Amino acid sequence: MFYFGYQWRPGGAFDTFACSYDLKHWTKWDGEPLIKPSADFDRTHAHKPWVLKHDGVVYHYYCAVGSKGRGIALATSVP
Amino acid sequence: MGRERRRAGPTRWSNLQDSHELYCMGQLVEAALAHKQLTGKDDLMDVMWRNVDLVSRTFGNGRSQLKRVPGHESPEIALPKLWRFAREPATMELIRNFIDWRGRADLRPLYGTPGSTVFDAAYYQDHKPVREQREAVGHAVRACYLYTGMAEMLALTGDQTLRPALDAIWENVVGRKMYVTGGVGAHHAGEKFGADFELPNEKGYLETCATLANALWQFRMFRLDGDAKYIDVFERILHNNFAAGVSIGGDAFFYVNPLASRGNVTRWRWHGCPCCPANVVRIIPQLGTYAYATAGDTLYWNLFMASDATLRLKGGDVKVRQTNNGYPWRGDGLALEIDPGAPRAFAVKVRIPGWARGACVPTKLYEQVNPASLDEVSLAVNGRPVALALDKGYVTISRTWTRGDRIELSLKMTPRFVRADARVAEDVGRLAVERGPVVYCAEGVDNGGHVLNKYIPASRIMESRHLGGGRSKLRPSRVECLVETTVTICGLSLPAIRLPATARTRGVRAVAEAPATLTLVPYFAWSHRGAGEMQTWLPTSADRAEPAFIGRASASHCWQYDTLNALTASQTPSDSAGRKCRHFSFWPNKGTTEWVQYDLPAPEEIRDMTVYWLDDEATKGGCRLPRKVTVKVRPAKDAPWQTVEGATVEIAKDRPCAIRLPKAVTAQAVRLEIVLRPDVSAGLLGWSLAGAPPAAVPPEKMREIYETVKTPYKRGMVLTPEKGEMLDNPSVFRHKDAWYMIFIRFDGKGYETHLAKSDDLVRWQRLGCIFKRGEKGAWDASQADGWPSLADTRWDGPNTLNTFNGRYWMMYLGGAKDGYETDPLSTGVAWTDDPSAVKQWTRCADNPVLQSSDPAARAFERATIYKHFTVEDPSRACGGRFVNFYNAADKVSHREAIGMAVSDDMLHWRRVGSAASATSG
Repeated sequence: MFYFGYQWRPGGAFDTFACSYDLKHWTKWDGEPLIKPSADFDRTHAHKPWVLKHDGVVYHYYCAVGSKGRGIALATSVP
Repeated sequence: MGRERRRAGPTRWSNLQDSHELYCMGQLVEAALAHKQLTGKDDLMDVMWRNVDLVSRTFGNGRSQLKRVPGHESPEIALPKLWRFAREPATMELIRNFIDWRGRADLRPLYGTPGSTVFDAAYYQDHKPVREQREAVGHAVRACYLYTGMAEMLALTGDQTLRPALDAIWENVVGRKMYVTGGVGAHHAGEKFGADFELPNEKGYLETCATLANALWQFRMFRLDGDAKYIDVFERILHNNFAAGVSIGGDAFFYVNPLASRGNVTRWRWHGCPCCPANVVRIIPQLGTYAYATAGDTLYWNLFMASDATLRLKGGDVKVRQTNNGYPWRGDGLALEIDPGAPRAFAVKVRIPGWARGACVPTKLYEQVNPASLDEVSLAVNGRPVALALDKGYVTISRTWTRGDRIELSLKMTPRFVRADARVAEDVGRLAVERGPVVYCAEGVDNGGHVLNKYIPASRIMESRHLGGGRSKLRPSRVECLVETTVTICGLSLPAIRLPATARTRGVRAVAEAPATLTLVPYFAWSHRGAGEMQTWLPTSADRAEPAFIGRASASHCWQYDTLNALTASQTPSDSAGRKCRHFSFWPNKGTTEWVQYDLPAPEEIRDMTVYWLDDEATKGGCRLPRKVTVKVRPAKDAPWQTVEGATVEIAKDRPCAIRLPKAVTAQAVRLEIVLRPDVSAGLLGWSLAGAPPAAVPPEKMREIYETVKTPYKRGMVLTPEKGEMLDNPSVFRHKDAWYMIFIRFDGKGYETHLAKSDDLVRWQRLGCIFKRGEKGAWDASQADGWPSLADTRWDGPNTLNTFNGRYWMMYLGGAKDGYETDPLSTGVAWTDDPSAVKQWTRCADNPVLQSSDPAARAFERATIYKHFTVEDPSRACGGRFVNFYNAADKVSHREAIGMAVSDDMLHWRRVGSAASATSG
């Protein structure tokens, strides 16, 4: 499950994930967030993930809030 | 006393926060006044006056005086009594100071241990000036003593500035923080009030002293305005929590009065902190003084207890004689005979208890499911009916009374179901049973040893008796399934109640259900027949009843203060020291070879088992992890033991440990042979023949997934907002030969749902709005932000949207209020036949399908419900074909958490579990 966290790490909202074998008991990933505020355009929040893999590339769409207002941003697994 | 003296500090008054110096002064005042009243002697009074004079000289506003308050309230109650007795101005000065100085950081350093979350200023009610307090907080006995003192001060001085605080705190306690037994104090740590609606049943504290303090406060509130609602609470306390605090024999005491038990508590003969027995002894001789009250020429008949009394009215003394046919078991024949001497006019106010007219408590915290009605009450004077015109819970009879005049009251003693406010998480899906003012509970001893494994099939009760749901107009007062019977406890034949139930039992894996009968006894009478399971709030569904293990547990040895129950109970220890759970141990045996064993009624297949080892090194106990464990089985009852070769047994601290057999074996008995380490003993906190509980995903697996899904390269905005708009919540899917994104757009008024298209997943082009706001006046008139359901979740899969009934589905968040995410937001469902078309999706008629105001809403979702993610689960592991995860916010903190609901048709959703699936932090 991809989800966003807010106010339990310093900085704005960020995307992370949790895993489960039975959909009822979840283990949170406790490492670095998948996406967190780092650029001007997502300085305030980088959150609300939609993640998919296509042709060997992972696409992570999210809602970015920052210098350009609130819009839809993308991060990928390759440059 | 030694410990108390050390705690008091090196000199007098040097540690007022933690010592009970001033508390003891209050108790001395009470003792001296009682002694004087009973014996007429002044010797204890002389001691008391010297102490009071010392305190009066020491504490005050003078330059050389101390400006401090009692660390534990008590003079606040005692001094008003002393003032009424002697009217010394110095006494009144002390009362005022002790109440006015509390919480006044401008006058004195406040109490509280820096950094402690338990012993903070609120623990001592020292966090705010008393007039600014609005909630019951901190140590429950201290708190209720303070509120009692505040009510006294208001009564004595007429200082109405205390009133808003008293009223608000009363609403807070009786509306949000009181148990159905009248008990208060949810937390063991700090013996404290909990948060609103935080009323844990098994783990609640409900100290006997706190409930008594609550009773004292209620009576003083009654004296302020003559409202019977306070007496209703008082009576509830008296017949339930108070009565349970002392054994029927009068020689054993509960300090803590939980509403559920796994059989690990019983009354104590003595307690290291012996406040409760003394408090019980203090109240019992006073009981008569609560039965009546007078004000001017009005006589209040408050409590039903056979008694003779002389009451002082304005126009002269009135003698009364009260009789009954066995209250609280019988409600008929409650009679008050009046003897005013010569005929005289005055008013008698007869209390009609709330429980007899449909109100369990004076708030909505607890409600009768089959409510009593005033029609069932009859009141007469000398045989002539009196109209039941209620005022503040009383019927006022004003007439000229003559010697021998007789008031007769009849109340129906009908067993009633009670439900709690849906915000009491512990009582959700449960019912309690009462009869008159008496709360009932189920004990193992009357119910085949177990009660925690039983539930009352609510659907059956509700359907056949037209109860609950609020929809049926036919709500008979008497519920046929509640059958009255009797149970004898300590030689007393007590009215009991029987009702149909379902019992759940568990073998190795399979859970079985069978019809059963639950016998309920008065709560106060519990725990007189050995320690056993007890339950007050009865579950109405299977998921809240813990299956009882059907096998028999035995062991080579069990320490006399431990129990074999620790093995079979499905307790979840927080660590191997087992601080809050039952222990099983071989103590004092050390270095020996011991065993524990389960015998089953019939052979069963066994494979993986779970064990939780006791190791109490952390609490300086004598048990450590064992050296070696062997698994043995017996295929049939009398077959020889066979060692299971190749079985592996984890021996580790602070977590459930797996026992794995190389292959499944059929066994009617299983034994763990345990070799203890030299010089130490060993023990267990649980042993289950079923496999390990759902495992956490191991860290290495989590790392692997992270490496698979991480996206370190930010590509910037792909849809940049225009001026005045905000874009949010992307959902991306493939349809036919192109990629589509459903997202939401905020235009200043609210959200609507839009569509964009891409050929390469990077460059996106907006197509337009596919889901507009609802019509004016509709529940979704301002907000309509949707996201597609049933996205194919296979990683590296087709990334398409799946259909159900040939349609594509959307869940959306709707709201009638303008603005950005304005509460409350609810959930609607819509569909389309082509998710790539720029056309409006169709709303479903059943909307909204999930609301934060639904009765089934859990605490974390009571403010608003946000976004959903809906998947199909053909295995129905969660109880439905479609599983929906959504985030929501609670009312108190507005923090967000993720919850789950399931559906079979996309339209009707059932919430799963009583708590959130994931929470913040």
